[in-house]
Order: sequence, then structure tokens, then C-alpha cells
Amino acid sequence: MHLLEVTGLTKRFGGLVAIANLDFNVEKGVILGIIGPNGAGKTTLYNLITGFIKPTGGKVLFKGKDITRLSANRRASIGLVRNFQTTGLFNEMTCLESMMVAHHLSRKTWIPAQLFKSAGFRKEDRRIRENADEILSYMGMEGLKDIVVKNLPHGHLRALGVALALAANPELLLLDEPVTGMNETETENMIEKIKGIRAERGITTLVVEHHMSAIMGLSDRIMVINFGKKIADGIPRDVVQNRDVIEAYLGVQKERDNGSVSKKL
Amino acid sequence: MTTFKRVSVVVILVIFLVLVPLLFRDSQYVLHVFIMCSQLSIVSLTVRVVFTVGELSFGQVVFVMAGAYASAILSTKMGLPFWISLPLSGLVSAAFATLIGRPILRLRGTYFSILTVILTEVARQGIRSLKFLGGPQGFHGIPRPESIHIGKFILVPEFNTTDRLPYYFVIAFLLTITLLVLWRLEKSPTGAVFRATRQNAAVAESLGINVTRYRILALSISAFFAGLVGSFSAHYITIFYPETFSLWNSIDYVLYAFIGGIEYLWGPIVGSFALTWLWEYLGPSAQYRMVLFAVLVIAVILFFPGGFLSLVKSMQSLRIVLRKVLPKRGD
Repeated sequence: MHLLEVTGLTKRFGGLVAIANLDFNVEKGVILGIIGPNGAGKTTLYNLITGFIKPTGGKVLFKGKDITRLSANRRASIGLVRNFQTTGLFNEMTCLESMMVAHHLSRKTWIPAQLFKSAGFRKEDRRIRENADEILSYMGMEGLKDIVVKNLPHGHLRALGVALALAANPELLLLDEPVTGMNETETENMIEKIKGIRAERGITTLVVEHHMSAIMGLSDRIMVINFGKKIADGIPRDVVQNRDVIEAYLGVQKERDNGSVSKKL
Repeated sequence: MTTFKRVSVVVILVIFLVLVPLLFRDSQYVLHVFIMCSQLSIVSLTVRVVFTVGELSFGQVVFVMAGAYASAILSTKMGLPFWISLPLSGLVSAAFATLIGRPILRLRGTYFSILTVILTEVARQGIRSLKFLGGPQGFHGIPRPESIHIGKFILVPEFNTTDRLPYYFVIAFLLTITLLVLWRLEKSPTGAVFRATRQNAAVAESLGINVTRYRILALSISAFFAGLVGSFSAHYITIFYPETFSLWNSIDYVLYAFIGGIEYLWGPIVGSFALTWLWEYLGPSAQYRMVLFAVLVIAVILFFPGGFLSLVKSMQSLRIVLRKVLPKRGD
């Protein structure tokens, strides 16, 4: 059974077809890179998989169950978590406070226990705080836990986004442009972290990115999307030499340019 | 909590629970004003609770109304003592909020606020046409709270038409409880979820938080406390009808909360007390009240949108800065 199965997924916005009859699967433990030109529908695909928009047609199966009609927060509760490319985070909170909120799914106590700070609540709170610290350390943010999020530099902000997603205990993690806007060092660090997420925590990961060497370094498999359709799906080496992929990014090339272009990719 | 905060809270409690009753024991007028301030404070606090999840409710008076009607019915038609119908009315109001919460929270932001404006009128019309809810005549002769004694020991004294002091203690007690609960709520993980919902609902949702459910929860909590005020009010003025509650009340609650400083827990209280006493002070020139009110609101929006308490905060920051910048004595 595949961890994630997408069948015939279609999304129309009025007359515009954003995603057209998309089929793909993700096996457990894989890192799948998703690439495509701007406007290809990658973020729409993420929104559909994670339940932020409803599809016009098709199905999404997670761990064998049909989740097409499931709400976004319910999907998170069964292990399907994403991060965001553009929106900020909880800007007025500190990093630690944000992480505590991100552990929402781990909380079993309700308001009465929280208000009276019962023993059960305090134990749970301590456990969550420890886990939050551990994740922040893993993402290289140990000293920053009391910094207010809106004051974070861009690299740390993106790292926090990933940290929050990890706190939600995902089985399948969807990363949306995790290294965009980062410098060389930050990008390398993030790539290592993402590899570690799979290696140490066994989390299956999808990565949408524009940064080609990051994607090439990370992915076991790459899927290429253009105009809402899958135009390639395979191991990185094959995908970059795929004619349709090259055309999608660079337009139709004269024959003699093909070799040098695929070297760039 | 800093020592300063701890001390000031204790001081305030002592002032209101001990000094004021002692000093103004015989001034029915002063007691009445304080009772009004306290009622307004609690409902303004409920506006803040809803604001914590990012919505601005101009319909809190509906929940006050729900509490008042529930308490009136429980007392007059079912003979329950006030001390039982008080918490029950809060629960009825909260249940009502949970019921209407889901449909009305399908709208967000400005649209939600507009809807809450309409809500009051809808509730009023609905009640006017229902006989068992008193119809257009409303309720009268609502019994005063009963005294409670164990043998000869008086736990709760008689409530009569002449002395407001017992009422004062009841509402002061309710305000203290409200503050305590809301303060604890804010520091709790649930309070953090509320803030997360307001700051970034999409991220909250992606982390497993059912944002709609938490918005409804905030609304219900706000309705509970507003309902308590409604119940108290019903047994304090003993008469009311649909027109007793109006949109203007809702608007007042919102404005008092913002003028005091909605981002602060004590903001709505400061706003309610300050403005109520201001109107009393103006007394004879009450006709200018509306003008002054408008000027005040505009001033707040333009110069200190954080409300009165933000000015206090600025002064504190200023003091810290001055202390660092100015040369120490002896240099």
C-alpha cells in the first residue's frame, strides 16, 4: 500500500484548469521532489493534498483511506502535515510559544485541567516543552527560543516553519519551497536537516523547490508538473534529461542546445 | 508576574472589595455607578475574549439578553433561587452561542462583525413574538436574590429595594471571578491556540487545530460571562422587555474595550470604569456626551489606538529609556 495515492485529481477555478487529471503515488520513506515552472500548479497540488482547497474531481488516499473530503486539520491529525511558502507564522509569539502551540495534537488535557494546572497537565506540558526544545535544537535554533517570531531573520523563520510541522508529528511531510530566499550556508543546512528528518525520524517527505541542486541532492524521485499535468516522474538523472521537462523550463530548444542545457539542470 | 503587577492587583482588589464598600456604604448613587461599571466591564471583557480569536463581535448584548431571559424564566416560571439560576443562565447563554456559532462563524472578519450587528435586532424581534419568552411586555417582578443562612449564621444577607450594597458585592465577586478565569485562560494552552488562530489561521489549521471549533469555543466562553451579567441585571432591575437591550449596548461594550485597550486584560475594565465615571461627572451636560464620546473615539484611533493602557505602557517604556539615557546624579 502506498502512503499517499493521488488518482485523477482535478481542480478547476472557473474556466482555468489548475490541476488536470493528476495521478501519482508516494511510498513510505521516500523523498519526492516536485518541480515545475512558476504557475505550474505545485502549491495548488499541496493545497489539494492537505485539504486547504477541495478538488473538482479525483481522489486522495492516505494510508489507504480516502481523505478527499477530510478537513485540513483532520488530515494533520492523521499524520499529513505541511509547511507554508509565503505566509508568515505566529508573528507575535516567541519561537517556544509557537512550538508549544504546534504540539496541539499531542495535548490530551482539556480546559478544566489547564485552568487548574492539574498534575496531569503539568506533566504533559513538561513533556511537550522538552520535545519543543529538542526539535528547535535539531533545526539549529536553540538560542532563539525566546525571540519573537516577527524578529527572526529569514533563514531561521523558514527553519521554524519546518520545526512547527515536525511538532505535529507527521508521517508525511509536505515542504513548500523550504530553501527559497536562503543563502548558500542556510540552504546546505536545510538540506541536511531534511535528509535527517527522513533518516532519523522516518518521515516521508515531499519537497516542492525551484533550487535545482537542492532538489537533485535530496530527492529519491522527482515529479515534474507543468500546466497542472504531470510531465515526468522518475529518478533525478532521467528526469533532467527528459525532453518535455527541458522544454517546459526553457521552451523549445534547437537540437544543438539540448546537451548543454541538461548539463545545467 | 512581576512584583509590581502582583501588588497592584492586590491593591485594586482591596480598594474595590473593602475600601469602596466601607467609604460609600451609604451612598446608593455611588454604589449604583460602580455596579454599572462592573457589569459593563464584564461584558467588555467578553468582547476581548472574542477578539482573541480575531473576530470583533458587535452582538454581545444578545448573550446578555439570553442570560437575562433564562434567569427570568428560571426564577419566575420555575421558582429556582437566584443562586442557582445565575450559573444556569450563563450555561444557557453559552449553549445558545454554541448553537448559533457554527452558522454565524462561516463569515469572517468584517462580514462577521456586520452579522453580529444584525443579530441583536433579530433576537429582539424573535423574542417579541414568543409568548413564553414574555413577548413585547417582557418580564416584571423578577425576584431579588434570596438570603442564605445556616441556622442563625447569615451567609448572604437580605436583598431589598433600599440597599444596593449586597448587589455591589455580588457583581464585584462576579467581576473578580471573570478576571481570574480569563487570566488563567490566556496563559493556558487553549489561550495560546486562540492567539494562534488570530495570528495565522492557516498555519494553525495545518498543525491540526480545528480553527472553527476554537472560534465557537471563544464565543461560548464570552457568552457565558455575558449571560451571568444578564442574569444579575434581571434580578437587579427586576423588570425588562425586549427594548431594554439594544445595539447601542453592544457598541458601548466594544468601544469601552478599545478605549481602555483591547490588547490588555485590564483594558476593558479601565475603559468601562473611566468612561462611566466620566459620563457621571459630566452629569448636567450629558447632552454633550455623544459629542465627547465621538471625539474620544477619534482621538484613540488617531493617537493611541492601543487604548489608555497603551499610554501607561508607553510611559513605563519612556521611564526605562530615560533612566538609561539621562546621566545619573553625581556625574
